[in-house]
Amino acid sequence: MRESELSFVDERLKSAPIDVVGIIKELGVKYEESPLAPGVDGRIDFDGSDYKITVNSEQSQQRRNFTAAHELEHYLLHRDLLEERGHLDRLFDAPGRQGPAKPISPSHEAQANKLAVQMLMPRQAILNEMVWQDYDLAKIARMFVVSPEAMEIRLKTLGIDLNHERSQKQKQAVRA
Amino acid sequence: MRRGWVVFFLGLHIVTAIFLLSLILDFHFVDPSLLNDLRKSSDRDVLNVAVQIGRLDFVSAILAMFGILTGLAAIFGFIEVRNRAEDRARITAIEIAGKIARSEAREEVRRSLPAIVAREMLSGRAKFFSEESASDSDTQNLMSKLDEGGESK
Repeated sequence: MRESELSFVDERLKSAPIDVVGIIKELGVKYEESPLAPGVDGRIDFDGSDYKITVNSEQSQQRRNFTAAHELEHYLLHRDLLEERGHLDRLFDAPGRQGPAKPISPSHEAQANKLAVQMLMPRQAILNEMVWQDYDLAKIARMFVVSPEAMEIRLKTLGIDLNHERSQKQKQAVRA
Repeated sequence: MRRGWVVFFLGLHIVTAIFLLSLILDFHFVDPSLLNDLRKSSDRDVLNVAVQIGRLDFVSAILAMFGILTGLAAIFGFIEVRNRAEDRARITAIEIAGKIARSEAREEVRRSLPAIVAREMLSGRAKFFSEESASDSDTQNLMSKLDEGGESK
């Protein structure tokens, strides 16, 4: 195991596109995409020595990325809670109807979801990329492999207004 | 071996030694009347003499005693060997269990501690990755719109 996994992950979130699968593999976690039961988006298993993340290959690229990030967060934050039977996630279909199997709790799931969002669309990477992509929402979203709607929500939660940022940039350019 | 057994066997040996000593001193190995009869007899081969003076009975008795002693020694020997084997196994098991427990505990700490520390950090004021904290509803909303616009699989 690395001396500081979190620092390693943090380093890999500096610029888009975010290679979640690459991070998973570099952390020594096995990764696989394969068809899973309907409604199941991913799972993480521990066989006593190795961890393995499996993502439903029937889902879209965006959802697969999110699921991979979610499972990676479970590995980083909750792996002491994972037992040998593994943990299964239903992230997109009817969320909240069925709680996760113990000892993982709904708060752990919410934590993994939030951090998965931060991992897929890190603040610093967005701030860098929006300049390169000329403050174009669609282009920025494409760089992070998410929909423009999802990126819009993310920008809102970060308090970033693209029009405002663009006008600020233009003012600076004029001054210069 | 237990101290009580040691004392018991010591006592038994002393009694046995006294018994044997008194037996040797008082025992008439050959009855004089039998010996006189034998001298008068014309048929005096070795076997006949041994039978007449009771030597074969004596050998039989010694063999029987030897058998009994061997049997007793086997029983007590077995008990002793079993007790020692159990003691040795217990000591070895404690040593090995201690080593394995230490190694397993170290491995579990190596596996679990980073996750526990990170989780605790997130639940407190310290944060990593980024400084903002989106609400649960924002996160759910974003998740539902991740692939809106229909990017292909």
